[in-house]
Amino acid sequence: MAVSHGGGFAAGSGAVGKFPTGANYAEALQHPEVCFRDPGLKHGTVQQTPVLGPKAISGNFASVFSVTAPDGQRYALKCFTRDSTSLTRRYTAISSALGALSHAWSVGFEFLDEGVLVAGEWYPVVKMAWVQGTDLLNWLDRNRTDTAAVQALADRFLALVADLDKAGIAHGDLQHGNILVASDGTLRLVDYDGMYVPALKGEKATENGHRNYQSPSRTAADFGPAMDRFSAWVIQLSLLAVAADPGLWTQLHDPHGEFLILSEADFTEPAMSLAWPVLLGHPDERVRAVATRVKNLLGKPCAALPALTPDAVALPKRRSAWGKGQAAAKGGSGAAAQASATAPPTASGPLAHGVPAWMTGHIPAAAAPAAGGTAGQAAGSTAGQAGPGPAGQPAPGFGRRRAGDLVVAASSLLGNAAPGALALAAVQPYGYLPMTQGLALAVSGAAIGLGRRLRPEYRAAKARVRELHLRARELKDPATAHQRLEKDIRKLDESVAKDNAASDKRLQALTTELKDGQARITVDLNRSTGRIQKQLTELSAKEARRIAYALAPAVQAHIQERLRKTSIQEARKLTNMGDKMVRALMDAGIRTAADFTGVAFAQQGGAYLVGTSGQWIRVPGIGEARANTLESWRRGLEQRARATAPTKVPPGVMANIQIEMATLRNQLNAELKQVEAGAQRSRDALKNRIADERQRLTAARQRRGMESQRQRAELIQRQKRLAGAEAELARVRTDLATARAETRRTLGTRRYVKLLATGR
Amino acid sequence: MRLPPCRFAQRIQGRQLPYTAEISRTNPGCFIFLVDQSASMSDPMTSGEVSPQRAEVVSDAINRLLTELSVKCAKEEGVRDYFHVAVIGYGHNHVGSAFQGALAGRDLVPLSEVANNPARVQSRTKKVPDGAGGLVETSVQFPVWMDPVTNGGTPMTRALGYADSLVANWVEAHPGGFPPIVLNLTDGESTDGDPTSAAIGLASHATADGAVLLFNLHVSGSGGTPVTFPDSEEGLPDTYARLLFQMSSVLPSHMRSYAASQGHRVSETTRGFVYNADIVNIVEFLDIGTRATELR
Repeated sequence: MAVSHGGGFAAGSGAVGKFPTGANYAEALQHPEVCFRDPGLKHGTVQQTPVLGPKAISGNFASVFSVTAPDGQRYALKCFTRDSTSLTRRYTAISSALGALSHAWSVGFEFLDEGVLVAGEWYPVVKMAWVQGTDLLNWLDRNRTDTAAVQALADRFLALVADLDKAGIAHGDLQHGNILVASDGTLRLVDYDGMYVPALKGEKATENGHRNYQSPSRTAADFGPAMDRFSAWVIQLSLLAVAADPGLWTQLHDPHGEFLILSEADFTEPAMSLAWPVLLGHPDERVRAVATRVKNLLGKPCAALPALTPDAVALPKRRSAWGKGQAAAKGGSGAAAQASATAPPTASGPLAHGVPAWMTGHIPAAAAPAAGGTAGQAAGSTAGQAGPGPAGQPAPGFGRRRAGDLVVAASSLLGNAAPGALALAAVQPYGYLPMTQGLALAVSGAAIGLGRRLRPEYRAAKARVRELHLRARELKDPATAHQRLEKDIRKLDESVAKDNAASDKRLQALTTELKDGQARITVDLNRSTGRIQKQLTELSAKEARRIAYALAPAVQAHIQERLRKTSIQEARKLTNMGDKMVRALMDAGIRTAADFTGVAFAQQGGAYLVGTSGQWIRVPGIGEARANTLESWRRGLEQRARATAPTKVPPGVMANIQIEMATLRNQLNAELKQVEAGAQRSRDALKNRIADERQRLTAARQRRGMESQRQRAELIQRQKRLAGAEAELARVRTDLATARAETRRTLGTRRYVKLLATGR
Repeated sequence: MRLPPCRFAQRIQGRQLPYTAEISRTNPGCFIFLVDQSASMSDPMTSGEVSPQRAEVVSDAINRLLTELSVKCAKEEGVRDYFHVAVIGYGHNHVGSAFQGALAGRDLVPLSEVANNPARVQSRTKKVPDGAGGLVETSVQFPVWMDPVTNGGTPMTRALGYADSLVANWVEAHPGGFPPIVLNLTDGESTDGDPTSAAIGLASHATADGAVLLFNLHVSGSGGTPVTFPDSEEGLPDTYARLLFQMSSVLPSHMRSYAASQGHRVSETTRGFVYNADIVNIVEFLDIGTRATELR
């Protein structure tokens, strides 16, 4: 029996690999004067929590405490809770490798072999200068809308990775918690436990890194200069994506999640991921390109991953200018704050140059009216901005006659003719004719007027006149108009932020729904397969039972045969028996061992033998002792007979049993396949349902983004025009007059009647 | 009785190995401690005069486990809710929360609340080695969430049933999470019938990551050598110990590796059972964030 004896770690005595726990260290550090040898630490102050004593920051392998030495220098003290036998050797190698070079990202440390005394034993610690900084996750959370800062950080990270690569060093656990951003925006790496330096070549990894940053295929054997590659790509993609579109952070990062925008499940089951489609289908070309590269790393062995280099993530053409405006407008809640400070993207300004390829065609003035449900509005305002007769607008005047126009024409004709016709038919007196004719004319006039107003050309022209009118009013009081536009922009940003927040929340809910739904399917599947597999393993026992059952008659016959062949005379030599007893037995009809099956005792005393048909046989002279002797004699005979009984079932019967078992086995295996296929179907159905809704959400978000950006650009444009208010007012008034005249001239009643009459 | 080994078809459709689910704030774990508070727990551990009460040993273990969990899950900004924790006492006709102080009466409590709300912080004097061969007397702050209570019978079956309902709700709400861990601390003599079927029922709840883990700490006056994580009942001193061993789950493979790395001899049938020894180290068996390493 493999048992280990002994109680807690306290025994100390070099029990292999047993390190103190985090709480053990926390307790020891209540008395720095006792537990430390290093003078700075011994007289230092350990940071405390309000309730639990020394404040720990724990990972899986160590707890870190903050100790401030009397000279004011603050240290991070790393105390190990899981043993790595090679700790000292590794840290020595890492220390000399890092010491030889000076890296901006590296933090100096000292490995103290006898660092801390816990329950009478010395344990090593790593003493590191305390780094003031924010971990990458919190930094991104706070700075995500500062696109330039995120981009700068991405560049810094790229440089850091290149630096590590050049030195042949790998960190081993690149993740948000080990990458700190100092107040000046520079990066520091902490936690060197799993670091590879050239001197450690041939060793194995002691840890595999954070699950949300590592390739599923990474193993301890992948310890080497290339082991950071997957995590480096994942981090770089996250930074680039957030720099391009801060909204991706709110869409893909879970506020409590220990990952940036991608997590373990996105690597192990990319087909079920909700994040990949968002990244791979993102409007930003670079996000798409880098996401594609990272996704392609998933199937590859760790050793075959490409290095992350500036060239690898650079787009050959057109990348820089696509700047703040877009990102801020698309961003979630942060956008509103930035809104008014951002340079207004205008038709003639930076937008025209800075606009990414996918945006052209969606921005007013740059092209035809926007697609989608807002076409009418878009057309109206486009006209308003672009001035009279922009290229691509249809020529003024009515287009072709439509069905509605024909109805108008018919009714006005009929209306006019009706009174005369009625008078001719003498249905009404002639005296009423002028009155009815007047009424009919009015009706026809109204019909024509209505028909004209229903024409799209007329409505578009009217909208344009209204627009110009509004602008003229605005220009008369530019200050108020400016404020009003400011308010409109704010309202627009707020409503976009609100819509985006709601859609982000729904997206998070979908992610949870997918995860939980999959888990429930797996739970059910495990239960079913467990049950079936149990039945499968029980099949052999079942087979044995069936064989025994089939053998039973033959075995029974064999035993009977043997018992019959054993004369009762043989009982003579048993203890306490003898000739007299045998004779009495024979007189009672018991001639062979087969003639009785056992013994029975009456309640009021007296022993009997049980006959073959169950009858009790009284044999004179046979009491309890002799009865028992006879019974055990008979049992012994039976046992010996059983040992020589046939063990083979006749081939035909055996074949039947085997067929039966095979059928059962096949049935169970089929059932197994069936439940697994069923689970797969459920999984697919769930995924499709969630993916569809996610797709709708993302599409709606993009549409909202483009539409609000267009509206925003327009509002800003109008705001800008307010600057030269007087000249503009004059211009707008001229435009307005022209537009009105034009409308009268080209879309007047006379023209409409002509259209009705001639069709042109 | 043997609890059936967990049969989780491995690696079907990209499914993970069991007991590898992430423990995080979005995927919290669940710890349920069952504490025997029966009258027999007032007996001393051994016949010696200075030997502590079993109940003291057990409440000490609970308080240390809670401290250990809190430290394990502490980060820069404080203790994170990587776990929800219940401490359920069972004794004198009563099965329910054994928390004292601010948490009294509550079942599953998020870990950060546990960490911030011990009933009190006790100051204990302790003689510790000074590293130079001598001893120094120091006072140590020791947070306390529950005091020893001893009263009446040992309704272990009901206690397991209580855990069963907590666990059932938990796995329903966290179908993909790390399976709940139930740790029963007792002197072993159930007074409300054989707890076996209640234990089987409890351990039959499962998330996608595996079945509920039921571990037992047996504090006993029967003597014999302390045993940690045995793989067979041979050598266990009495029927209670054997019963508790049989009720205990087999350690998942990565926990087995950690047990091995702490110097315990383990095999594939090693169970989460400890006889008269320390179980607080079990907190070190939990992986948070990082993927389990293939220790040998």
